[in-house]
Amino acid sequence: MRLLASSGQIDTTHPTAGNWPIQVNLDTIYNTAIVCGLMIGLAVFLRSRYRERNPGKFQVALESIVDFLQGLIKDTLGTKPIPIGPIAISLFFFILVSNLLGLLPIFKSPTNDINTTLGLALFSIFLLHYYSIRFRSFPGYIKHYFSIVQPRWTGPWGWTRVVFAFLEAIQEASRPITLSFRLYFNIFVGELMVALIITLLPAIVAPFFGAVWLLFSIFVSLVQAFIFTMLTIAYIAMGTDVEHEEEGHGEAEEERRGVPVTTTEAAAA
Amino acid sequence: MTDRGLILGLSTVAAGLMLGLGALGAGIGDGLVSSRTVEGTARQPEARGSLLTLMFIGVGLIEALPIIALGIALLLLFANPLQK
Repeated sequence: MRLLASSGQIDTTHPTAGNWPIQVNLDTIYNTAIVCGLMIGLAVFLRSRYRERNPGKFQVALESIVDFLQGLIKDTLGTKPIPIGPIAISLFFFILVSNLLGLLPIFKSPTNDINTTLGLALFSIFLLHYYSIRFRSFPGYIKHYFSIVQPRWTGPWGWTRVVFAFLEAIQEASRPITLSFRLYFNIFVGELMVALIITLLPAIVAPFFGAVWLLFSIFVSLVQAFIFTMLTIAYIAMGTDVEHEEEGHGEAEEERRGVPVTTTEAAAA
Repeated sequence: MTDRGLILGLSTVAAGLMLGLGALGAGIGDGLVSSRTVEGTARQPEARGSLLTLMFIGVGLIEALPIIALGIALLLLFANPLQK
């Protein structure tokens, strides 16, 4: 669909299979399969040479990334019983590997396609609403929209609440759009720029600019993967903020915090 | 002036406006974030790591909308859906 109207022709369409209503982009499917295969291969490779005492460089790098993400989750979510850790780490590595795949010569990123990023964003939004309803119970979830300005349920119910509920609903509805479009356009424009640099610039300066843009694209891939993961965690943390009930939460927190202490005491005894 | 010419010409002007204003907004936003990061690091050099992380988060969030504008500008320039 997008053709460059000068000497070179850059084709950014995807070969498709099937018709309406089910139509898949074939090369996105192939590249997603390659990304999944790469991730499984790297995981198996790491597991085969896993050493506790004297870890290798690759193991140290991955452990530092996982450690950083776990610290982020603990900082943001606190002591809420939300198993977002494995989901967030898998999401981060999947988006990172699929963003970086497009920088290699023959491959294209799976996140080059709006369908991939929209699917990931809808998955995150579904998680957000699911945990929000589970933590607040459905009437509380609806009431939260009407209590953005005045955070106590017992305020005056007037037209201002309806206006702010509407604005908050628009803000929430824009989240899947910005999540998916941010990732999609960053990666797609990066790949398109590589093609434009190769096509439009003279052959003497093109490798230099291409190398600079590739370095920037690696940085953008890292940052966008991290932002997607962090926004998912932050949205869930904001959506499960239960402020008013303190007695029930106090007991549950003590119960939860008590479990690791008793096991270490039992092990020491 | 033909109809198609008018549409393509105005699309080019629109693409230029989108790119320019997007870059302006991104520049101002990135400058504010980076200046606060440098100031915070100067005040407390131990917090450099976490301030750098927050700066990258801020830059990534700020740069999202100008890149969306760039994508739509490229769409308008090269594969205009409005032309006949």
